[in-house]
Amino acid sequence: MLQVRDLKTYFFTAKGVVKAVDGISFSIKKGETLALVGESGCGKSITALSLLRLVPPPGKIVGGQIRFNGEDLLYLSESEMRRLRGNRIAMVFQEPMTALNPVLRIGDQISEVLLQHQDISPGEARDASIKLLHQVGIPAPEQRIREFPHQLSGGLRQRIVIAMALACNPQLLIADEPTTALDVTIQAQIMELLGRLQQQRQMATLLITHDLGVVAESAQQVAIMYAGLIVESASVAQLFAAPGHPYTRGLLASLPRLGEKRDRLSPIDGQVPSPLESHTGCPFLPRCPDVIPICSSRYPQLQETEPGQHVRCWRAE
Amino acid sequence: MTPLLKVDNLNKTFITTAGLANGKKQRLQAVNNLSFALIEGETLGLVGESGCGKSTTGRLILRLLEADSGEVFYKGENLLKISRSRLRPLRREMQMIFQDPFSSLNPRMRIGDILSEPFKIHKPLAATDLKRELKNLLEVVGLSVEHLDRYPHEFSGGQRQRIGIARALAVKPNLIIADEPVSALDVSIQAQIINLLQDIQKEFKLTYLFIAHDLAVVQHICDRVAVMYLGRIVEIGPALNIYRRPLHPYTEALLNAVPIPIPGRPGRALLQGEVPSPINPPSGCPFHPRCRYAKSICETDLPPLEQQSTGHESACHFAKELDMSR
Repeated sequence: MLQVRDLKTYFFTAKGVVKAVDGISFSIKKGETLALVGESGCGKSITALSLLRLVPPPGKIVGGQIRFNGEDLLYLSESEMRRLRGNRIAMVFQEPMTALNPVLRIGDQISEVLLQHQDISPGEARDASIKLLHQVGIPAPEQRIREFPHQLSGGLRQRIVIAMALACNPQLLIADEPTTALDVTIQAQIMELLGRLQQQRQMATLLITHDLGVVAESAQQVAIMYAGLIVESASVAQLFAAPGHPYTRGLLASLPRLGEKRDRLSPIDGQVPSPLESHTGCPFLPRCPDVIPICSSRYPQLQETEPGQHVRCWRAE
Repeated sequence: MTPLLKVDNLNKTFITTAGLANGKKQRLQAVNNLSFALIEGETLGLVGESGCGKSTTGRLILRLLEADSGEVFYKGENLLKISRSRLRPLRREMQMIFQDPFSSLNPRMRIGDILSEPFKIHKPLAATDLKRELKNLLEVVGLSVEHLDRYPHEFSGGQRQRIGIARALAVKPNLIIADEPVSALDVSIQAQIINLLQDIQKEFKLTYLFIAHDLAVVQHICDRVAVMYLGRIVEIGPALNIYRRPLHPYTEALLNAVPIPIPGRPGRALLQGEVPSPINPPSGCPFHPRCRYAKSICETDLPPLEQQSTGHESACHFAKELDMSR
């Protein structure tokens, strides 16, 4: 369904070139969820915006391919992209308020999406909106379509955003930290909803998150990003059972876990790298507990360590 | 054991007009008859979802907000009754660490000046002594003297939180109220700051009130945990007991909702619906509309917070009958 090859998105700032995404490759099959995991500034959100070709200036996609159903999105015209966005490719963001127009009624916002992409009447769009709100678990949708976003809770707003994203039956859903702004009980409801809708509709989903718990419960495939690059990719089962990259191991070790009492946590030393830093060797080197001489001179390539598991580390076997 | 801090029947109501076109005033009870005690040297966690009153509680204790009624005893002295001038020296002993280290540090001040301020207010020192104190402080929190001349924007989130912690430590407090101190941080950095908080607790014999929504973090760092729902404590007890055998259905639901980083676990019973508005809370037990165990008594009678086993209290009519072990 989606095949990304060697995607590079750079930002040309006054302070120099920021290589936010520096050559990443992944693919997502129909009905599959790929989780893209990483800490702030690692390039995961810029990857999502790149797929939609919505990278804000001074950012630019400078190389690679984004093949969606065999077609390279980087060769489409702006009007062809506009027909795709919100239609065959949809997106759900972290903060639902940024995706909603505060002065438009809920019903009108959903209808707008439908009218934009489908040949239907306003009455049909209204009926379809009610049906969508019902599907995303909004009580009394006939009344809700007359309300404004500020009248709803964060959880209900995110359900509206999901309804809008699903309005045109997308084949690919990009969800960027869709539950990070929500309370834990609402987060669980929203993830359950997304999982159920994805099953029903067999969408391919790119789930961007920093939460390894969400990854374990919602994704089948996972890619770990660090400093603009994928440092490990594997099935979720493989990654949690035998993490191959020292960064992945560090992330898993640093988590406090429910029902376990440890004296101390094992953090990763040092700081999350700034996107402005440039590297000759491995960018994880300053924080890595397991360095050998070659790490400082050359960057390792992703290599297959187990069938289906790829690790970018000189020490990986 | 006399507690370091004792909160008795604390109440706070906000008057709000938010969301109402007609401007009609409504009462929102943010904190409702809250009572708990903090023993010297322990860490008590205050958990709950947004709007449950956990942050308000922290602010009421330090009188950053004035309570409507109730009492807060610190070393036997009622903080809510004493004058502002008497409160000031006590404030030195009670410091706060905030969630967002960026918004709690003045962006136009150098780190050296930010860290000197508490000394100016509480403990004037000669320049050389001040310099020595600042150097020590930075070392304790894992920063160095070179950082003194820099501005907050030159630091990462984790380093800024270290500065926030150094500022709180400057005046040698006894009690630290930490309001979501690690929730804005990246996973790998979060663990560093949690370890730091535990190290300085041992070194300086600190008592923590740890306000947070992340249940795994709270369980790790806290000796005891209090779970809040709509302004009330619904359960309080030793951290591991609460996690292994919760005695309130809301605690069980919260724990069920936490995504666990272990693939292939079976699905969990999810809490339906959302937290009701605190402007118009449900009758009886405030949790009854969402509780999967609710019976008719729950709709009418408010269950009191009662001891169920040693040091473990729950406000549920059926705490003794339900088995919610995990």
